[in-house]
Amino acid sequence: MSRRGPSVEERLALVLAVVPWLAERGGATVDEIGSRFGLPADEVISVLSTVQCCEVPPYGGATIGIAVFDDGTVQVDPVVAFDRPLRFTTDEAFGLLAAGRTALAVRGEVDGPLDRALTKLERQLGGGIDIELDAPPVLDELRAALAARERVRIEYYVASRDELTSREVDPWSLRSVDGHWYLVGHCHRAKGRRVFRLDRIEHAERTGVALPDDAVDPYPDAPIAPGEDATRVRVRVPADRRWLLDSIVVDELVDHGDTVEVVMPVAGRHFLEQLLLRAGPGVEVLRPDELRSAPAEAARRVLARYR
Amino acid sequence: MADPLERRLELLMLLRESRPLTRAEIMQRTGAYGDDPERGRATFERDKRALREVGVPIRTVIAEGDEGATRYTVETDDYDLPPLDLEPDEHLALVMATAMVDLDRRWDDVAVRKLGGRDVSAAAVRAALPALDGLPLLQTAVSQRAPARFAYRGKQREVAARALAFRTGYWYLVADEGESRKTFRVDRIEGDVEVGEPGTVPEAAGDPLEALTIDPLLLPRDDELTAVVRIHGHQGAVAARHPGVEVRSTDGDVVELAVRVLNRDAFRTWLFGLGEHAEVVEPAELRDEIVAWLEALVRGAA
Repeated sequence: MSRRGPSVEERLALVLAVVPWLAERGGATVDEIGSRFGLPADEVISVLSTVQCCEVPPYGGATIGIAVFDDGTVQVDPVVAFDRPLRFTTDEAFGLLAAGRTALAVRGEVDGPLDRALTKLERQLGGGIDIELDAPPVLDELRAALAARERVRIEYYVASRDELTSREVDPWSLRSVDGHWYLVGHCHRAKGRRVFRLDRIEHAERTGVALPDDAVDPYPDAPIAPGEDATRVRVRVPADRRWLLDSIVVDELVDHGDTVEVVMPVAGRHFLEQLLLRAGPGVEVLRPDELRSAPAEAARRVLARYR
Repeated sequence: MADPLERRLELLMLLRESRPLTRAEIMQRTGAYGDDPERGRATFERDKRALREVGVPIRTVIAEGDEGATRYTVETDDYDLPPLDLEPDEHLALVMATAMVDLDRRWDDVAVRKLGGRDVSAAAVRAALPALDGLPLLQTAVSQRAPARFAYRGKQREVAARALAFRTGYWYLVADEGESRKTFRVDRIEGDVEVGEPGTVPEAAGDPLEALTIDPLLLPRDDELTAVVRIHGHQGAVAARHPGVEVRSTDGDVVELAVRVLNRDAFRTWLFGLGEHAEVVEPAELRDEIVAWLEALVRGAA
């Protein structure tokens, strides 16, 4: 299987970070470097071999002062050319501050080491970033279950079917995405990996059942997004209500002036009906044919409440 | 010609020497740019750009009486990351923080490498954060009290940026435009952000975050009224958690809510999110408006 190696720019940035770290501690093994800087061992050796060849001014044959040995150890001269890391770029400074502030919001910690680290960081890089994450009532209970590696029982509202269900879940992770918290885990009712939105969990409780040792998410980096089995629906929305589309995923958007036409993934009829009711008079489903009457049907059902 | 990485590292080491050098001196001293002056020059320009792209602060110096020759140098004070003076537990906490956040542009991971990398895998409880182009410059504008310029809703703006806030999945900028304090959604900024001279905008008056109104239900646009909404079934508790919503009474599985309405569009969005479980009870005018909206939808398909 082929894998794209890092570009010259990425290799350069890496060297400027790895060499000062090595200089500070005098050396390390190739494996240590790989795991700290997220690189496979062969890539570490390839990058360091190039660095080894660099001559230092005034070019009398002296090299940069790094030696890579056959047993995988790397040694660095104390007088290495790069003994301090390069200062942060604007992007990196923002990234670090934003990550720190977000982690603080995730942990809800005050006066701890992260709080103190951020105060020092902001003294140098400036502040001005404020992060608040949604805190649904079941978050703490699920967080405790995750930390204790314990199965949970939840009452879950399935929005796509407008139905309340009870199920047991082995929790793998809690993820905040686009302003909502999600529980990722193995659902014993569905007998598979499922993702649950926390604001749709009416109730959660720990069961006392310990998770098996091998209970880990087989897809830890899978995005939280509408499923592949979603239907593609083409909808025409009056232009003055196009703001409704800002917060949903669309595959395609065509602006016709007084109307906007979109194709979007729809995982359940309930979600589509909510959008159609909100878009109101003038909205049309163009495709698939069997959903053309969805706006009127949804409106009729809600109207029944008023009669 | 040498490997580009090797050549760029050699160039960087030379530029970090004390004396600013001209391109000709650099090419002559490193010997890494070959015999063809035109190709050598193009390669040198590429290397210089690549170093700047990773953040190397290359200064250009045009000394008097130098017949206009540009000299290049990298000053240690510009280059070195200043000591952050973090205690070991603070350093670890900062590194762990980056494992709890999925920033979609990896800016934090690159920064953490400069702090010695990270020996921990992604945390089980973590949050995703959108990394939008304008954010780093807007943060610079906030922290340096520099004016920020950008286009928003088809209009060019110059503002005093006061704070960046992340709420409900979106980044917001609180800024003073003229005399008024406004909230801008950062993902709706059109094109690039420009930052002006640091220290040229006055100190912010009051807490900028107090001006942050992001819940659409509470964004004033229409005359304020309080609506009574009846929720049937299990969605009452969830609906009651929304800002601006209070429980008036509960009777079995029917919950009656008092909802502060400042914006009709936002109210309908909230209401129809509850489907057929929600019914506007009063005021009559609002109830009629909702019924008319639904009847028009039914007619649309006729």
